[in-house]
Amino acid sequence: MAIGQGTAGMSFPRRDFLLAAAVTATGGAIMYSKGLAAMLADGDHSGHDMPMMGRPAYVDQAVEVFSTEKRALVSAMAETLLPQTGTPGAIDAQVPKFLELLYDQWMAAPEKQLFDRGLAETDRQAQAAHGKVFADCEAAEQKVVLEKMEEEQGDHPWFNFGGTSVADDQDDIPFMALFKEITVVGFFMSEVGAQQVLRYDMMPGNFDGDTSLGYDDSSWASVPFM
Amino acid sequence: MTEMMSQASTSKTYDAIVIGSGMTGGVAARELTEKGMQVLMLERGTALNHPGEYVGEHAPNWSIPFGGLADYQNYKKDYPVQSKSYAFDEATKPHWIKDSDEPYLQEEGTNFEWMRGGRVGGRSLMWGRQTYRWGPHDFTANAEDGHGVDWPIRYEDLAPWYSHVEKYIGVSGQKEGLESFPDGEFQKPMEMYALEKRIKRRLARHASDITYTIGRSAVLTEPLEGRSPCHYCGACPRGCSTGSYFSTQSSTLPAAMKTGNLTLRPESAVQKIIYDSATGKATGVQVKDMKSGASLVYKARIIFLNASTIHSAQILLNSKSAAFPNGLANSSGVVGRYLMDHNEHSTNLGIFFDDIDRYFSGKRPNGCYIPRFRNIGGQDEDADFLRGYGIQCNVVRLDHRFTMHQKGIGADYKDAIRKPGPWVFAMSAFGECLPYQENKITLDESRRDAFDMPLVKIRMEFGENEHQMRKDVTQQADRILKAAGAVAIIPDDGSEKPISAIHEMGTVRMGKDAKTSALNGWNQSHDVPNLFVTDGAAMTSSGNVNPSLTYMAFTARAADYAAKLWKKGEL
Repeated sequence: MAIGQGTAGMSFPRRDFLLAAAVTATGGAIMYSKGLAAMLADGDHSGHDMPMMGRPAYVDQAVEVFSTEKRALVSAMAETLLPQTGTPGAIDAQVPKFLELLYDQWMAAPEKQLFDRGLAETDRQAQAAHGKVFADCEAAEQKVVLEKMEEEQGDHPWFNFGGTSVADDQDDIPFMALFKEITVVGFFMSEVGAQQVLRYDMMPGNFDGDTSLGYDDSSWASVPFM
Repeated sequence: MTEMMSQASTSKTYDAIVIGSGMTGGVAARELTEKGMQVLMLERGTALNHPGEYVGEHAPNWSIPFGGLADYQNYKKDYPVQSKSYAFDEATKPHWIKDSDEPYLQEEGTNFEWMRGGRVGGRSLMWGRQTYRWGPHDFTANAEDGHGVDWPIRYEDLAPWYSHVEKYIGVSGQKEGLESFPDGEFQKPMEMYALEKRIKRRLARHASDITYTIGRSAVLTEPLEGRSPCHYCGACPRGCSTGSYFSTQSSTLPAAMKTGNLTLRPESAVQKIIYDSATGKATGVQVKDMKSGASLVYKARIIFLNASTIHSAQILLNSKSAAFPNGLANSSGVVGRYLMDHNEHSTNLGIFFDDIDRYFSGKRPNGCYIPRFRNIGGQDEDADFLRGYGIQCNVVRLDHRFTMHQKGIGADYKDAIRKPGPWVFAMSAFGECLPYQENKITLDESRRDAFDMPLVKIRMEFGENEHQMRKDVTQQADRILKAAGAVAIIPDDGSEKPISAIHEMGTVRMGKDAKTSALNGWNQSHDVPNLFVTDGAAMTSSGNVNPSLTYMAFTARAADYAAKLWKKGEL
């Protein structure tokens, strides 16, 4: 089930998607959005920005800011939070790379420091409890380390029902709030997470407010403003 | 862009200039060009080509930078206000202005969030699309309770123009047959969620004074003028290449272009309206060309000012002359004053145990609506506030964005947050705001923005009536949620929030008396007969429903009046 780096798109035929997204069903007839189709066909996109739907996935870009050890630690932590079960886990969904990209492009200096301190604390606790760095611990040991850290940091309002986003309020956020939020967002917004763990339908075509939901069914992948 | 450079010094005089391409500028352009007038539309923002240039439309989730997390470093620097909007994100960012280009000032202790569009189409590109008529009581409220001057018109004057506009913008909705909440020309209503149908049945039994109806929305459910019905992708503010929601770009601009009578000039920032004291009329506008930096002049017989509420007042206050030392069309001194915005608050949230096994397909870009039920046909005995409010309602099936905050690491956590949480019923009240003279905009001449305009300084605060109304909203929302069957209610915390309904209006109000108002009953300046202001600035009171439809109806009515005078050679 694992999907390695550089294979984004294999689970989803991007070309077909672009075509599908550029049309909309109207009473059985298919009507092209001519402007968008022309824009996508325009090789050099002269004069305007490439539409986002034609861009590669956010994680499909090179990033090289973590050391090998740091990358191993971040991967192990993300996978511990969201492991491969019957469905793909954080590594399958390229979440470690997403976190490295956020570290490089999105976090301000204080959040980078918070992130680094949190990583160091994770290894420190792993050493103290299990005598080895986090990445070398067994999965069950890793889970215990992160659970303990969450317990220590978990009385922050981020952990309230429907709590706020670390992107909106950086004051005094604990490491585990930052780590959990960006890992969950990276996972469910990914090509793999949205389609293989959640359900994804970009162009539903109609609305039905009374479909049935089975006990084990996943949510729709989120759409902004909804 | 055939009008670049040289035209400014030519002798061409347009029949009309429309300043602004947003919600009302588009309607003005359509109406005036369809009546045969040669129109120049000036827009400060950059060009945007419908349908092909909505960069964020249908972006798959995984293409969004940072997974959609707010790019807070950039937003703090360039978009500190715009980024607060629910409709702002990486995929809609191209539609908004950059706050760093055009900052505004606020009187100390006040907090008003001013949202603005930066493209041709203005805020019609990312508006909320809720579309309601005012009721007859809204036009008589000022006269009855004495707050603000009396409206120069009544509901009956505007009703045919509501119909006229509804037919071409396209509004889906359900007729309810209420006098205080008039029906319009509707396409078929959108479907309700199972829980909404359940809530509607329960309210009919346990709170029969409450009407609960599907949102009336300028989103198509049937084809209209080459536009397609909604395909329920759910992210309207990114733009819609199928034209399924109304915007200048999807509707009024193509219609105006089709006449062959419209010249559109983007990146043209109007500095002032030029007044000729010999004729007593406006002769044209002075424009800063944002590409070349050149100062240009365009001439016209009639000016429609549709720059959006605060910018329209800003342009008038900046248009000083010997005849109008306090700003054009401002002999009354009211220009800039009586700024209003809706008294909007997210209020109590209800949690439901119903319909756990019911779900949905398609993302309906619309909620339900509870029209005003307080102080209708006279003051309610238990109401210690004037006027009223409507409530926008959304049932939401919570997903990982809300449930990820729970404790947990590993498989159980992953499994819990991948599945839907409970249904919740979220209510947002939009209340009327009384017109207060001290709520106003002024200009700070000592500072200029990227458009070379003096900075706007805003003073906007709610008064005692708005605070009392909010308390009532909390009580009523509790009653409604209990009647609807909520098993738990999270009450409004009462905290002070910025004023940010994005329904700002007033500042160039209409009225019967030229001494206390700037515009007459035709949105025509008392002082300058060939100047019309038909955006939110013209509003004399605020009502409580979402205002865009009313602005558009006023615009169509004023355009019809202006065109008739033009044909007779009177303007």
